[in-house]
Amino acid sequence: MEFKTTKKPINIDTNSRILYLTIIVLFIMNYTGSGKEKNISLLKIHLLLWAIQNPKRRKKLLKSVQNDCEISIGFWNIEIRNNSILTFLLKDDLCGFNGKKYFLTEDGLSFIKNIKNLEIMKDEQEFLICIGKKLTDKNVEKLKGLWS
Amino acid sequence: MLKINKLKIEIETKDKNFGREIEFLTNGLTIIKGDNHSGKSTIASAIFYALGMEELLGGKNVVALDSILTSKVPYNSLDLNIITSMVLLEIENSLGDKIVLKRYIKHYEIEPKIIEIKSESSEEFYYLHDGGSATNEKGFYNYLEKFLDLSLPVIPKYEGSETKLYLQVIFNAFFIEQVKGWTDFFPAIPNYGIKDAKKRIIEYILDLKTFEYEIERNRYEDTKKDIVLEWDKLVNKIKNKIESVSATILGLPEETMGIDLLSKKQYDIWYKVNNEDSLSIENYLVRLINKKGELDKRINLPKNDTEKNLLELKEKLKNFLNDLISIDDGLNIKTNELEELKSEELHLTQEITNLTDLLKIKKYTSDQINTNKIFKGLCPTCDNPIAPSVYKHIKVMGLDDNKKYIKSQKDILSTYIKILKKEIVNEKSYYKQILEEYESDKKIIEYLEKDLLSNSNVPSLANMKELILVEDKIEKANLIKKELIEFSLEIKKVSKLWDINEKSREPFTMNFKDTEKLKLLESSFKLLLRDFKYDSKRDDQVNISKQDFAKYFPVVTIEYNKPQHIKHNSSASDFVRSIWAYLIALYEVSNIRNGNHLGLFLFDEPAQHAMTETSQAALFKTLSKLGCQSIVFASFENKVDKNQDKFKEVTKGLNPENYRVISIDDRAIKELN
Repeated sequence: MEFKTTKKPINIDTNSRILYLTIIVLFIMNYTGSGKEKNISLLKIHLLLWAIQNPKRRKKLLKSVQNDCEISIGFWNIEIRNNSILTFLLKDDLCGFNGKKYFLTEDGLSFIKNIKNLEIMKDEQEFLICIGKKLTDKNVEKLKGLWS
Repeated sequence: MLKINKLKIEIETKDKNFGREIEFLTNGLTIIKGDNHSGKSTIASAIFYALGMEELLGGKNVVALDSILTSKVPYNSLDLNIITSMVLLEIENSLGDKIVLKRYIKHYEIEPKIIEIKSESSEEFYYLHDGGSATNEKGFYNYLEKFLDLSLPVIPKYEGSETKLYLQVIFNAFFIEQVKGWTDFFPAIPNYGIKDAKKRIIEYILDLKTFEYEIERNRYEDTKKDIVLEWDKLVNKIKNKIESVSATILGLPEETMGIDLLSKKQYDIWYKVNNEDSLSIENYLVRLINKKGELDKRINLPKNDTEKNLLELKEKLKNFLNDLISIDDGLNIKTNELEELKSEELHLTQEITNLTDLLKIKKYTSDQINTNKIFKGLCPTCDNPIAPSVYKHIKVMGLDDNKKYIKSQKDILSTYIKILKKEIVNEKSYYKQILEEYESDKKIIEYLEKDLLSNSNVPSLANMKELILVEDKIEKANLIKKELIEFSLEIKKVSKLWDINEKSREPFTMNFKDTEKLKLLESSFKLLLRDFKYDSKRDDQVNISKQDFAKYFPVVTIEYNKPQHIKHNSSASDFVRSIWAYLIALYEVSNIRNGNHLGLFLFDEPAQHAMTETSQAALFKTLSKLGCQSIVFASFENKVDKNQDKFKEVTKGLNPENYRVISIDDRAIKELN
């Protein structure tokens, strides 16, 4: 007897979806990037992508940021897969890279402005607004140092 | 019907008098033409004010009026203080009766909330903007309603009460001021707490019967809410009482229902007598009464078998304790399980929200002309499709399917959580019941131990104690049985009310005539859109909504997508064109189908957002031929020859009998001799 099997599409958490991650990266840059162009380091993007995944992590990071990142948030990791999002955004001209930092292009800024009107991802946006500019690159380094 | 015949503004300063007198064309179009900043809007606002409609400008009494009417008149580079100022407006109703409305703007004695009405036979004062001005005999709006022979309906408010549909609300369909007026359909409705005020305006103007249905529907919904509240109150009351006697009620009709369904419901009180068995209240009482009989018989007899009884009871107590421990263990397991399931439910709810957000983004990006490739699911470098998730090897569900899947998962989970919660409540109740039995047996043991030490010829103390406890239980059980009977009678009454209310429920659908009127409104609206050169969307994509979303208002539907407001699908000037078309279409349908339109338009600067001359010309042409009165305030700079031509261009082809031009040149308010 011969059996044939076909792969059925499965359910995955939204935070593994490219579309979700793309919007989140854009929000991260918009709310926590510095200056008009919203400059941001790669490490900071990864840290916030890690934190935004669940409410516990968000709470931890917020608490640490409120204390000038003197409190450890425990071990946090970099998800290499997420780099592909940045590559897509770069190639699609929604963000740019100046050799040191990523930044939002005019297209990226206007895209963000428009999708903010859709009233989406309220919790995520609220979290990023709370983080705001308080998470400096120095603070990210501090949190990296507190790993051990 | 309402016609405005004449307007007179009178301003008195110490040395000079100022003002303006205008006579309008009562059947056709009056164009009040002037330079920018010449004060056309001052004249428009004077009309609003004289009719008590200044709330449409943004404030009551003189708040929204220009300073030239309220405090100072500029004259030869001086500002002259106003001593008194007033507006006189002659209006006419459908019977040809004329009255003059005289309202002071500034006066040393008479406040702006007083209005004088002069008719052929009388001169009387009325008040406005105070309680009862729409209902009392001396209230101005009440007078105006009667003068215009209107019968304004009573409509629901947000907070549940009812109110009259105020004239100031309806006037939003006739008078459009220039600042906010062209930003939406009826944007200046004063806040009277009226539920769905915009819908009410349309229903009134077109005289839709749906309007009455809606009132009925609100009454039905309100009564339904009250009944559900009463039902819940009764159910919770009986639940608490049963819990207080450590019993359980099963089959309780927690959801509101009609008498037929209720009579099929069987609910009863149950007592847990040990971990295995439960008895209905009837059987429980029989058991207690039998027990009481046995104890009664033994009450005067000398005690015997004390030791044996003590051992038996201790053994029973041990079993009770085991039962309690096993129920407690089960409860802990179930409570933990419930917590886990709740957190999973929360996660699924969050996932549904996230997927809804992603669908919104997908829709938004697919509606854009130059969507970025990443949002099309394509690689921006090689144009090949990219995997939807970071786990490239996994075949992932589409957003829609995934949302449906998670919703079904959540539904199953929610049902299970509901069952589990009920189980936990019941088990807690069993626990309490067994604990109570355990405590009462413990007391009997105390007395049995006393019996062991006392004289063997005297009656047993334990017997007496047990008798007291049993009698107490019988009393409590009888009491709760009575309560349950009372509950069934009360709940039946509420259930009957439910049936009556359900029977009063109309299908609440639109009747044939209403549907026809809306069809007419749609076709008239579309024709006018074409006349006014609206081209943001195709004819077949625009329609008048008959659903709850933007009901009675123009919407745009592209293929199978959800309808959207026309505002979000039109350029700024096209949206203004759609407002023109909609307001005029309302009049046309009302006129043909005997609606309640007053047959009057006052448009202040309808040519917003660099409107083309062709569209303006079409508007003027339509208004002039409508067969009702239209007053349009429009800017055309006389100083520039080119614009003089522009005015000629937009009025070209109008029948001179159907329109009148009143040029106010550079100043609307002039010195009077």
